Amino acid sequence: MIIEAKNINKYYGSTYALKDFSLGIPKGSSFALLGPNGAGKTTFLKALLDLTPVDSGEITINGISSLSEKSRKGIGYLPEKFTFFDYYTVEGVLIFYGKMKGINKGLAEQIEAVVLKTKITELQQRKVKTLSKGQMQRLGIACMLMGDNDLLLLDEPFTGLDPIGIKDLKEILRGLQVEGKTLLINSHILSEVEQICDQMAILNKGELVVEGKITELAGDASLEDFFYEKIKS
Amino acid sequence: MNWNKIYVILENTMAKEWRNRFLIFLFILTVAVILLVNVVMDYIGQIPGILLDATLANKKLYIFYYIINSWNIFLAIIMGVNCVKSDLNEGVYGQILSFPVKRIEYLLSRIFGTSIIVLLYYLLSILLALSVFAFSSEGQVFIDPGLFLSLAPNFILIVTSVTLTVLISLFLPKISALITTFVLVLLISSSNSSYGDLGTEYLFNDLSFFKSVGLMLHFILPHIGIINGMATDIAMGRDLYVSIGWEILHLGLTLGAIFVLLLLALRKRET
Repeated sequence: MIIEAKNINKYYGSTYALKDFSLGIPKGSSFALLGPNGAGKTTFLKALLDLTPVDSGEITINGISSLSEKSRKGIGYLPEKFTFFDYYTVEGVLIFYGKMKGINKGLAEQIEAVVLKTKITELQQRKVKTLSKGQMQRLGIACMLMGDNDLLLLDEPFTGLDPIGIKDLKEILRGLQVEGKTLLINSHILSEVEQICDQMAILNKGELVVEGKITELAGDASLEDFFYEKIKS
Repeated sequence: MNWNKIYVILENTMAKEWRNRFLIFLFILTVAVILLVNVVMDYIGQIPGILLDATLANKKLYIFYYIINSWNIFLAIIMGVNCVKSDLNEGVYGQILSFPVKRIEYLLSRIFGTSIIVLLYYLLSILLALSVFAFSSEGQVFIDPGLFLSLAPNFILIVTSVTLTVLISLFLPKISALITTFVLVLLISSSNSSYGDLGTEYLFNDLSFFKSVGLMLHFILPHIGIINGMATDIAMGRDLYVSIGWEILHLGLTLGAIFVLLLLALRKRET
């Protein structure tokens, strides 16, 4: 397992964001974390990166506690709303990300590769403040791809993207799957997730409802129907 | 410590802070003050009977030094209020911490990056004043090495002010944080000047409410007033009358405590 979460409890005041939540994500899998709004999906991603402390329980990434900064080595993260200082150029943001990922040699080549992949080559000299929502999301994806990552965490990656952007992102994700990377996708858009992921976990009100292979769990039903049924029941 | 990442964040902090519009405003104000001091001192120098014990250019520089020193802290507070708060407000904080970087490394980079910008501004102002006064006094300016030696206590002063401001900025809105820090620094400086050179036998005599508060500020917070005084004394080539060892120990303990509080406050905000 690349990610192992054991008995995670996290509450905001008296409301549980995660309740005795345990999850294992196998290396090389494409894992979907599904759930309605407020289910605790983003909280879990943030807890993975130690961006929010949990009240009890333990999370390990590659066997290293998520409380250690070393566990974040080799992780690419796309937050729910990617932002950066608006006076930076697209290239400037990528240089910052590259340097933070420890890329010294071949930074220019790496930037060229990710802008090509995310189709933002012509935006390189544009300031962040001039980017549209979709372009910003593409920049976020480009930043996530910087460096040599084994694990990619994507929080609502399809948000803000038009149909072309969604198709491009799916292609990028499929490419990453071929390279053997582990994907953890937190999304509302079930139809897209269904095409990418092989495994899933459904969360509701901070609790794990179901976990396993999508094909085995959903059977002949669509993921949307299966999800609806699980949440409603 | 991951020095590579610290350097990258430090670079990012400097890129972020030098855009601060207040820096440009303050630079214009600095040039205005240099010109004003120049004109006024030239006028005084022409009055018959007034003798100056140092060259006129040096007198100008000392007057300017007093002025620039006071807004050194002012600038550190203004820059400090945005230092971490803008990262939290703009959502960049989480993105930076998603890299393999410790909170302490992030904080140190932000605080030192901001402090370096303030110090560079300060150094530039001194050099500019030095050049203007030298040119207007037929090159008669004696550069006291103390002026440059004072950069060390000034940098400590800037780092302390920035750290204190960052902590306060986590609890209050921007303007309130600015005002609170200004008032606090003023109170610390006042208490330092009142109790800094008071013998221990007199410190706890006649404890009134205000004296108790003043003593508390003097003991539990960094000696901003004393460090500022030290910087001025060094710049002017005067002897130091403070115990350097005690001041270093006090600064280490109080600044360390503020830093720990800052780390805890930041973690608390993440919940």
